[in-house]
Amino acid sequence: MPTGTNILNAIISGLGIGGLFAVTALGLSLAFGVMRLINIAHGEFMVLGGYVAFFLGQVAGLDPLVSVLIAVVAAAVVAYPLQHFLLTPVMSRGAGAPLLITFGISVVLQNLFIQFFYPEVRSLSAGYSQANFTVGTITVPIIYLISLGIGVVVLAVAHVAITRTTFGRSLRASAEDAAAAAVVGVNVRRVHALTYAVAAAAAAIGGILVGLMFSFSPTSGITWLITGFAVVVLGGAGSIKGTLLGGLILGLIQSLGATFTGDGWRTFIGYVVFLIVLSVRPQGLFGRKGSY
Amino acid sequence: MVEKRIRLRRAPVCVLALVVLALVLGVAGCGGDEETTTTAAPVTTAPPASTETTAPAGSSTTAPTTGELPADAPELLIGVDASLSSFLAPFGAYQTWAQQAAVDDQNAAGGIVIDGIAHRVKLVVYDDKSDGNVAAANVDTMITKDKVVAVLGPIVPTVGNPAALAAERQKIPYLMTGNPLEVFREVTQWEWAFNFFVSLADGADTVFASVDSVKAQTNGKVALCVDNSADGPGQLEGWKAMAEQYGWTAVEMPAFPMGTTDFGSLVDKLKTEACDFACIMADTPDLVALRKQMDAAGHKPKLLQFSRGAQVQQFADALGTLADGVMHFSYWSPDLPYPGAAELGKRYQESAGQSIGQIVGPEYAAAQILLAAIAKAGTTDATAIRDALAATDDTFVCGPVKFAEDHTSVEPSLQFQWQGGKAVIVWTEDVKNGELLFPLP
Repeated sequence: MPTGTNILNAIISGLGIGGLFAVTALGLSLAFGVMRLINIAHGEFMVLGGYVAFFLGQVAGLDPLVSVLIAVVAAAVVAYPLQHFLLTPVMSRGAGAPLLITFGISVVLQNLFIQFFYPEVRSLSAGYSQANFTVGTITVPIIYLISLGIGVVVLAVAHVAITRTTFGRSLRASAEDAAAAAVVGVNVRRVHALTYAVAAAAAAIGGILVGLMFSFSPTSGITWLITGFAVVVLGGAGSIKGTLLGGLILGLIQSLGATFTGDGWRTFIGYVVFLIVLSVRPQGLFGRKGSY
Repeated sequence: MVEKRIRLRRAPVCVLALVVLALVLGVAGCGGDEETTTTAAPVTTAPPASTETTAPAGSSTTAPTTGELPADAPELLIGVDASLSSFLAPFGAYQTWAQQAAVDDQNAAGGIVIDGIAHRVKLVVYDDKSDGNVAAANVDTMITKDKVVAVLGPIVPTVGNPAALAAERQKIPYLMTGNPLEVFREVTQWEWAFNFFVSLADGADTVFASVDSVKAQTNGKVALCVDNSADGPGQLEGWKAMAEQYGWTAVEMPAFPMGTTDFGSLVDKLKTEACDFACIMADTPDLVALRKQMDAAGHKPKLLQFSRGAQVQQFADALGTLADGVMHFSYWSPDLPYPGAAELGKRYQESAGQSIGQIVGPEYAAAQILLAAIAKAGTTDATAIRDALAATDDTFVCGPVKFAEDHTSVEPSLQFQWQGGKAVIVWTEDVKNGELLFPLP
């Protein structure tokens, strides 16, 4: 039976992982909430962030968290034209065509990663990624606190941007009713492209955290895509608050579940709870009814 | 309205452009001399491809040379299934490099004589994406579509066994390494597939024998944990038996799925049990994540054994100094006294700019052995090649290989330890080239 120490360690771990889940899911939430787009390439933008940080670390000795600034720009620069030239023309044709295109983007990106970085397992490291401090019998890895902190900050910034800026107003208008938004002068295509770029940028931040906490390779994005979907559905698509809380809840459930049953059941328990929530509240914990 | 029609017409063009780009990248990935195809997404060759051609290393059973191969020499196609992407990619990269190197050497020595005519050997490489189902489908395709005369299989049982079964069904000779013998044997009574590698029982014995000299400086407790791979249970049973034999108290941890990234619960249990020795089997990405999380949680046993995924250089490269002290049992090193081993190590170093992976030697040998069998058979007849394989009894770059009636040949188990980014042999006494680093730094 787990002890109190085990449970507290699990809570700390769960919150840290939850912060990572929230960051990785933010982009998916934005894309689906605004454009009704299921972005299959989301995991690859995460991996892109990891590779940018890896490359900058190798070439210029940059700390991974410092590389975040460049990684988000790189991801946004890649994503904006993809949305503008490939996705926008087919957005009015239903969900199928954009879904297939994002699948194609995913395949292309994976192969580009293999070409430039080889199919090797990579990892990011820094002094703080392995550091920890002890409170009584509880060991707190610093990287979990960093992950939680980054998750909260990124989502808070996203929330402010969406609720307090002109772009945010345009984004909300486009999500509510794209046609009506266009009528009142919102450049919906540009809003969509910027949203996709922001989503990719958020994914890149998540990718750097993944590299610091775990490892990554050209094809590891799909795992995080699936987790991201679970967080988005759990929290409610398009809800920033829901994405943060959904990530934290999923992280806690998985961590505590693993503590009682073993790491082998971690993912299973997380998704069972996810399915229960979905069946009771299909719009997610903080989503609006009819979001899907 | 016209503008809308123009916008809509652009959509299929954009989709077509994306498809073309994906195809171009896929074809661009098929570089070098080897033909690389896949049943799924486009694949690249494993870098760096060997372009050197030297005399075949080691084996005394190379094909009788016929001088330089004429430009229009007919091709002899050998199928290769390798894991070039996903979590087994570290192994696949070594496999294709090594097998291509062996083929290059054979061609430089005049190719293979079949029915009196010198043939240029060519590898037909497929990526199984670390998926057993894809591996089996690949083998079917390379036999039925590409008409390969024999198949070199991928590493590890999860892909190797399904691929071998596909070759069995098609009655085509199949040779692999990297598949623990017990796991290979329990699948079926093989008639066409052959495997040379270590036995898990030997490996387990090696693990505990190598640390016997320092056991007195520990609390005598060993934590055992495996993933849910095909060789996990066999490995666990072997460790348990050897732990008891060498006087360790074994604490079994719950198994975890392959591809696990978050080991919070396992690390917590390891800390709680406070075992001074931990033995864990998993793939490279999982072990990298686990080692990082162990360190972040402040858990440091005195001895740490990581099996399977810790063999490859990527493990040490990904972890840096965190890899130091991690042991793994393995089977080959360029420092071993086998013909051509040292030269192969040097060649790989010059080609890849990094230390050689331990699977490179056996994979080079796999190609050597198969080509020698085909040369001995002197024909592309599957039965003749199979019989020649079965009669193999020689020393190759990986050491002596002689197949028993069950189509297996045992390689010696050695214990390695990462020290300063290099894999040092710390056991057995007769071949070790370094001392055991104790405790874990």
